[in-house]
Amino acid sequence: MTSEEYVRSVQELGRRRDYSSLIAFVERVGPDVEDQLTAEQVRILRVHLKHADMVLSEARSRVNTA
Amino acid sequence: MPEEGRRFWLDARYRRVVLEDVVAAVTYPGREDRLDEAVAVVDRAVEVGLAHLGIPRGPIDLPVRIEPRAVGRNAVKLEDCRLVLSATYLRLLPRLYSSPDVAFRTWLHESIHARQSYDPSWRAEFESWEGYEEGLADGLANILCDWAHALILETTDYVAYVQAYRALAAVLQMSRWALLRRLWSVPTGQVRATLLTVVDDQYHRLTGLRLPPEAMSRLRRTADALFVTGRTEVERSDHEVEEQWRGALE
Repeated sequence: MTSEEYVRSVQELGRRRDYSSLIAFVERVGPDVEDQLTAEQVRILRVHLKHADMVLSEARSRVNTA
Repeated sequence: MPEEGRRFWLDARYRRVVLEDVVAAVTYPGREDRLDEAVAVVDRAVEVGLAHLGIPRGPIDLPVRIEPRAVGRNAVKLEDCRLVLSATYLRLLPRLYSSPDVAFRTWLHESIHARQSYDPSWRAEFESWEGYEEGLADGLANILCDWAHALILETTDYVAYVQAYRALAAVLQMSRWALLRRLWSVPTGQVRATLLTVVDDQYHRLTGLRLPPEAMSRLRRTADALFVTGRTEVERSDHEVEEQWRGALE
């Protein structure tokens, strides 16, 4: 997978708000492409992944509280 | 500024050395044992500096965690008060950027989220309109980096949201600092609600009038469109965004 394809996949999963799949995808595939990524691509990844991390943490917190 | 923070904030060469210690500890075998100390030095300096500048960080669950997260998951301040940075991101800093100061900005950004405990309903704002909070944190972090003469690349992470606040500050004849500082005073999850009050107060200062209900509704729609989740790109000029804000206030 190229870094462009990788970023497009992240954007698509982010748009679908499929956050669990998104984090699983980047942890599985990310290490194979990280050396190809540009600073601009990392910026775009950051926006999508930060959002996913935040929302998932809130969901986990609700489960723990329950 | 107290000595603990002053050198880190004001001496770019020293700051580079300290940040490079963190990067080296996650990069080179045999340096791992220095990671905790290097992270603590940076974090203490960040905390002291923010307090001195009048925007103190609230409680976080120390120590700051450095975890092997994929690049892009660079850093996050979680609701449970953990502040986590990605070791992968730190390791890639030398290749991606000309300066480790980018990590300084990220550290500040997450520390700004940590100003108070999150509002219990924070997700209602954040999931649909992340830009209210992320633009606030990135905009303030940029101002602080300017003050510290940090060598930061021209683009910030949340370019579209930072632009929206910059344009609003211009329309309201406020400094970016004055606008963002007002919003900083409320917890994550309350920025969207507070923005209307801040704009109305400033409008009153400028005109002696309060915004009528229909203008408040237009303002809400404009702000929600500009701070909607997923806006990664700047699509219009600053001037055009200022016109959007003016249109809402008329």
